[in-house]
Amino acid sequence: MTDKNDQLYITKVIKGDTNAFVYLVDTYKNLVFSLAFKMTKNREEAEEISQDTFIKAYKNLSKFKGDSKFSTWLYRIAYHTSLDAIKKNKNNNNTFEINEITFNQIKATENILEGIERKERAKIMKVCLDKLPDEERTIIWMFYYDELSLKEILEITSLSEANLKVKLHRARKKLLAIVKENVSPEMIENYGRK
Amino acid sequence: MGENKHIKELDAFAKKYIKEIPSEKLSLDFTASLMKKIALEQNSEVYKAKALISKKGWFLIVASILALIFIPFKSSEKNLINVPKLEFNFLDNFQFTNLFASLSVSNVTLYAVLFFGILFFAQIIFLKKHFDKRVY
Repeated sequence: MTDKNDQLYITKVIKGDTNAFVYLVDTYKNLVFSLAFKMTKNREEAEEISQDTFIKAYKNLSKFKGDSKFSTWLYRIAYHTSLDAIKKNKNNNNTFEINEITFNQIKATENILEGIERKERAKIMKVCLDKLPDEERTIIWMFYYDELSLKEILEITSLSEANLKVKLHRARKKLLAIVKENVSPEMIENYGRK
Repeated sequence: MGENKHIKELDAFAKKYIKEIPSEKLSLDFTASLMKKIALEQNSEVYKAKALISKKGWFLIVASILALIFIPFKSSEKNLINVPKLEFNFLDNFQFTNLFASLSVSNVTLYAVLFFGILFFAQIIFLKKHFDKRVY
């Protein structure tokens, strides 16, 4: 399952070649950091979590059996380390009420977004995504940004399949509702049209 | 039914716009500082203090002390091993003279010994701190 190159460097590290770990860090550091950043919404904290993740991975590398991808294993560590940090900080998890989404609402929001410059649109999306509750934001990020499969997310989060699907769908609905609310005409004025 | 409405459209919406968010980049010296930290942790593991007496050792010591205390009582009724009875009465035949009877210690000497004792124990704390610092 593990990438051949990854396995080669993992074996080297286990045999005592610490420098071989640099390859694994450089390959996956941005993945780990972006997940931690999305979960905690704090750059310094995310960087600290990324460090802890790699240190934990280094110490437990001999326990990695290679049944799954190395990235999934690393993701799992990063996910749980970030969860611990969130619990410690007790971030306020905004509960967002969502009403029924209609086909027209989706299309109308898309139309508004299409009228905004790509760079500005990305900014709006980032702000809106950050407004989602921690768990839903993380799931959305893993599924759509990092393009992980449902199976991989199940492995990382230890959620049940049905639960994950419900959470993913709810997160999508909430995201649309938040975007819809954020791209009100006044907002568009602020961001500027094409 | 309501929960699964418009899955396709919502999926397409999320797929399209989330990918546009630029990825966050780590600071440039991340790998270097991480590797430094790993090297430091490895060194500290080498110096990791080990208890002089392990848990197993303590268990054996406690067990043997308990055995020494309790076995004589238990076996007093029924002797498992024939231990020859030791007689120390012969010591009464010797007459010891008190060698230290004429020894008198001045107060100054007593205080000096006392302070020496205090300083001796105090330096244990300082030495421990010193060695702890050297490890990291």
